Amino acid sequence: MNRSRQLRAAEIFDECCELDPAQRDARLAEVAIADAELKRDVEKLLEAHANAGSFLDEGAAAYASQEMAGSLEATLAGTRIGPYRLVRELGRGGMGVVYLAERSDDQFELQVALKLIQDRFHQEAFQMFQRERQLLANLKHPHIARLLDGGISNDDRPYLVMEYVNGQPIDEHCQNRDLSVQERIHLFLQACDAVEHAHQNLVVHRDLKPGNILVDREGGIKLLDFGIAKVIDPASSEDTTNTVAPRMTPRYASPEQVSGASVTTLADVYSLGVVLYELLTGRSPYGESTSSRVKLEHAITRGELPRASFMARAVLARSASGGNSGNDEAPSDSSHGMARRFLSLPGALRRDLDMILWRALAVESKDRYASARDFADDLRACLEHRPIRARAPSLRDVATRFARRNPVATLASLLAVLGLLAGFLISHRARLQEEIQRERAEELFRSSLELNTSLFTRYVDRIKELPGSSRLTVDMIQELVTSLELLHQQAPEDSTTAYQLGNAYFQLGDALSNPNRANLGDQQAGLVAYEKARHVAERLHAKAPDDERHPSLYALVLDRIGQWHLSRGEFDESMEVLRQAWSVLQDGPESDATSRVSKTILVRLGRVAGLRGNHTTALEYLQEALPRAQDRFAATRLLHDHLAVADTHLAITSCYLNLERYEDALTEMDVNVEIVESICAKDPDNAAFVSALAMGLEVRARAFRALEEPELAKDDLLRALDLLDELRMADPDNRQLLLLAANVTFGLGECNELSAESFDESDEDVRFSVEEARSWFEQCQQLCEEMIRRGAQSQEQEYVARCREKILRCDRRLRVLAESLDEPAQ
Amino acid sequence: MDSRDITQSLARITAGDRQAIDLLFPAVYDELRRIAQRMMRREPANATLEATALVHEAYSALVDQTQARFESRAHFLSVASQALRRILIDAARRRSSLKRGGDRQRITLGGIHAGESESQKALDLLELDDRLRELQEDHPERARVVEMRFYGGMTHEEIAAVLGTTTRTVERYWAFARAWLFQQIEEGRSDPQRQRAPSSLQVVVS
Repeated sequence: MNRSRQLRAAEIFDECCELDPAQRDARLAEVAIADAELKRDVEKLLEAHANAGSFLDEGAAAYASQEMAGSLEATLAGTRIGPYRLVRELGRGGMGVVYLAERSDDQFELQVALKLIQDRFHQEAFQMFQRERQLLANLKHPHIARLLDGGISNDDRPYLVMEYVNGQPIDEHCQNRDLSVQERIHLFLQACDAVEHAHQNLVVHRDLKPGNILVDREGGIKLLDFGIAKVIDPASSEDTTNTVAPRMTPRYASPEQVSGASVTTLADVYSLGVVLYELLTGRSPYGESTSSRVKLEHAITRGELPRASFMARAVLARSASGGNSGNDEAPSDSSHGMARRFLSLPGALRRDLDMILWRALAVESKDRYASARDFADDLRACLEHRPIRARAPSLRDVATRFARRNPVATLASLLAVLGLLAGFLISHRARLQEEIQRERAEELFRSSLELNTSLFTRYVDRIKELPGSSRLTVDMIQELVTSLELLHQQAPEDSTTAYQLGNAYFQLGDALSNPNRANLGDQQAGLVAYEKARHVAERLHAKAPDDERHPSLYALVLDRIGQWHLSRGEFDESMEVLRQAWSVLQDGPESDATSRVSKTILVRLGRVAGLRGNHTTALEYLQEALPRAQDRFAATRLLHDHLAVADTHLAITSCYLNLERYEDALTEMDVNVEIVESICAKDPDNAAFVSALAMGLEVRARAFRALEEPELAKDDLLRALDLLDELRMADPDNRQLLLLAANVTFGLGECNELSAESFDESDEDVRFSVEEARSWFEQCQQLCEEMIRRGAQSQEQEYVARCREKILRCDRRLRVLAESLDEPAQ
Repeated sequence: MDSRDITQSLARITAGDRQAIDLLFPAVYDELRRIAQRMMRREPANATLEATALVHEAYSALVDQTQARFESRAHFLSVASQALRRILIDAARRRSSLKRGGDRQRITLGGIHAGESESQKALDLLELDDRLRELQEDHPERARVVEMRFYGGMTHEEIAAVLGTTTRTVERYWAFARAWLFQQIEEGRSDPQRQRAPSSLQVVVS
């Protein structure tokens, strides 16, 4: 391009940038008449303009740090620090730069790692540094890189000289060599031994992470930077404040380091736990929370980490569901491989490892292993199939640990305060009335109660969805009911208060006994609450049937009463109440709320019809409900409404199962599971969603079983079981979860029975399958007995009987098998 | 060169005396290098050297604030942009010659990898510099916009003040220069013949 064309091209480019595409084409066509080549040049530039993306947007700043690092390094290489000559940079971290260095006054060649700290020291810090340095220099262990020397450079920066380790971080090493779980643990044990040795010598590492746990050329562990965190950041080690210096990543830090409490050797135990967890599952125990510091710190101090098995399954599930290849959160091949490997361990070993990690990663340091040695001992025990010390958490453990850490606990204390306020108001009412004018007192009383009510209402909705909140939800609603009853007494004609009261009774009934929500499993108390709600709602509805809130509340209450009868097998009573609900809705005004409730009633009617054996009628009800649910979701896009769509598919499935249309059932369940999975992905902490997923998987497994696909059924059931384990850890009183777990274990038993039938009779595999079936039935029986202890139900009694029968059958088969196995041996 | 001299040369530059730039340049260059190295030392790991922060720090270190107006500040920033460009190119050259020596192996320690970052792979500063020089021949003002914005982190208002034009023109200049450089570098990538001449590696600035 000659110069004048260059300039013309720039001018035309400028012009074109201001024009819209049509005008631009016209302008370029005009240019082409005079100079076709000029047009092409401008077009190319416009194309480059369009394709340039973020080219140069970032500014040289992004490159500057790299380049400056290079230039700084170039200046320092060859520099002498004390008796050492810097050779080249090895790496840099939050505290400073590490160089490979040589001792320049020595006859023999000694290569060392020299860490030049970035901050200059104060005088007292320097003395502390000298003392600590001496202590560290005394630390001698084959798996600890020794501190050789240290001092202050000419420009007043402290430096430390350490044994130079030519090695690889433990996680990379395990990944590159593709080590087995057992090999990984053996390697990790060396690190535990080294940490134990240091602890014996009163040195805490404070910054254990894979990058500090190297594997050298000989395949042995070398721990770097022992005690350096304290030496370098003396201010931070003055026990209380700022223990995790802001420049360190807290990914491996213990809760006490993050919260700034005092740090002991137990902090290292925790960090070791995080490292092992990652080595075994391929993922951080904090999952995606590692993406931001704030989230991570929250996750660390909150605790309640998913069991390693659960995380491993999640890794597999995620990579199985594919996801977009561009997604950075998708697990890499290596973590996928690790997760698979971990899951393929024998069940007992895997459960032991879950327990061991659970113990090492306790939020409260006193709940952890008392030392790195105890941690290592348990790991050795589990590798050698000896019993481990970290016992399974009892429900009580879980409950107390939970109460300490869960946000629910914070809300519980709030509840106590509000309860006190209400109590104070009630008991001092009379005094208040005497002391202040009566009218004023009543006003004050009323407004305080109203405040109380609105606070409760707001928090109840929030906590309902937290796992483990059943008990608290009930307590809170009961408080709310007390406030509202008082208000209602004062002004019985006020329909808003009456409505709120009816609604509160209804919520209380749900929290006590609704089998589709987290609930306390108190059936009688639940019915009492529902009946109270019915009483209030009936009167409201009679008084003002045109208020659209009234028919929907009334119908919903009737729906729950119908459900209550249903759960006791009282189909006729249930049908009657539900029909009544339906007529309330048909007669009343139409609104969003009523159409939503109609859908609920239709689903319920379908269920009752199904249970009475009228599956075709049931299917009709449900197929009428489905589009309503879908419309609702299309309008709101709320996750709850999406879940309602999934629930309808679930109900339709149960009709198909009963009509023995198994292929149709499977199609419906695939839709259900897909929807619920997508909901869970959006809100993984929501207990209601996760339990819906467990339920969906359980029902889909039924379809698989019916289609004689026991292996596919088992996959779903095991996944459901893991989800349930997690949920039950947080919410041990929840009856719905117990029942679901019973269904799942029973299903697993039946799957194994089914696989036993598909093997050749003489095969050893048959015995395994039958044994496994037996143990699942046993677990199911235990779960049912547990439920019966909490209030016997006909359904569970029947279940227990079925389990016993199944167990007997397994025993018979095992005897037969044992005999046939013995025969050839004789 | 003390603060008064600097402020004076800045006044001359602002008044249109281009030769005064040569007087000011060495002082700015040294000051920027000093600040940058200190920043690197203080925070080597997550050093996001903000060009803007850098030049502003140099400005407050060198120039008597009470004397300076917006235009003269903008002119200072433009000199600083040139200096920063030079610093970065010098560093890149040194690094490049080191790399050719081939003794940089990838060693990890303390979890930090000494190696190339993604952004470096994505953009070769030395090549960009060569292309920018070519752009300078035909479109000196447009090239200066790149220098001030990309290296100096200056705003369009500041650049407009230096060039004595409107921000709208600055935007147009930037659009053109960016498209032009992008096109050249893309073409260079697909055509190895056109890659950076090795001669530019020979220049070593101490």
